[in-house]
Amino acid sequence: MNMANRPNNKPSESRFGEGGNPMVLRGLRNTATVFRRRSKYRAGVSLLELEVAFVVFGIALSGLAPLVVMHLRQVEKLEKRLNDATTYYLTPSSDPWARKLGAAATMSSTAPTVTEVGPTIPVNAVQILSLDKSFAGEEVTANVSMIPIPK
Amino acid sequence: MTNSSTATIRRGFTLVEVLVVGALMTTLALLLAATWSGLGRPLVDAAARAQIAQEANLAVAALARDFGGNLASADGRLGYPANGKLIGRMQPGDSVLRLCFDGGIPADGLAEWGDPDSVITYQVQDGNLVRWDESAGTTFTVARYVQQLQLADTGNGVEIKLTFAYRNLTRTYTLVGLDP
Repeated sequence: MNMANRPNNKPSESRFGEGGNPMVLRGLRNTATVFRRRSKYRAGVSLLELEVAFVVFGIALSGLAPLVVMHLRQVEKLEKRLNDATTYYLTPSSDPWARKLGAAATMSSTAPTVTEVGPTIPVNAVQILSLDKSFAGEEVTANVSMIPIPK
Repeated sequence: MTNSSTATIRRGFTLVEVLVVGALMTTLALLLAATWSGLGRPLVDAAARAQIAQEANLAVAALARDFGGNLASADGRLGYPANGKLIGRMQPGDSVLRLCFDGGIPADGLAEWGDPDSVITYQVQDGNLVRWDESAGTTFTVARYVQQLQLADTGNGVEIKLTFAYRNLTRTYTLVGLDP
């Protein structure tokens, strides 16, 4: 019988009948048996897989190291601003107007030298009526009334 | 027949398998311990140090504002130079800091520790450093995790020792607030 003229063009049926290729079928049966047998046992993890997992874990952990270093540097920078082993001096400004306008005491780690400034005799009575201080800068705009003090 | 008999037999571990697993678990434990001591513990310590440093900076900023010499409010900034001037300081029990700012029109230059003067008090309450404006009746927390506020008069100022405690870390900062 010519292969080209057969009604059903399936080689397995044409050559080996309805049962198909016996070698192939035997192989399939064997594979099925193996799968059935394997499914009886729980699949484990091989040593190689575990080692690969360790390596991945190690790489992930090493990725955290720069983060820790950066964090520690930031903390050190913050601690440098205020050290617990140093005594800091809060010195008010020597300028009475700077104090009046809200200048905070300056912080230094060395004791300031005391300079005696004689009392100043004001020539005007200055009164601050309103104050405008920006949050960002150190500039202050003051609206004042000034009355000369009679001598 | 064969399948049912296989299912009833429990398969154990060989000695080699147990040893390999034990070795791997030991390695993993060592790895985790090294990671914790190398990365975890410094991170926890750094977080505590940062917290304390931050709170200490806040406390110092508030004290520097009040030791600037004038009341840090609109009452202190407006008016004549004598208005709101820091004119008195006391530290009852060496644990409470009281600052008196001159008030009244005109300001008399005397610390009356009450109306018309403004009195600012620093003290530790429930682990917080609290700044209390007695005249305005306002209170706010300056810094947290404060264990102790210790004060000592130095003649021309006051020595302020602030002890912070956070987790297992304790730090004491020393400041000297000088009189204007």
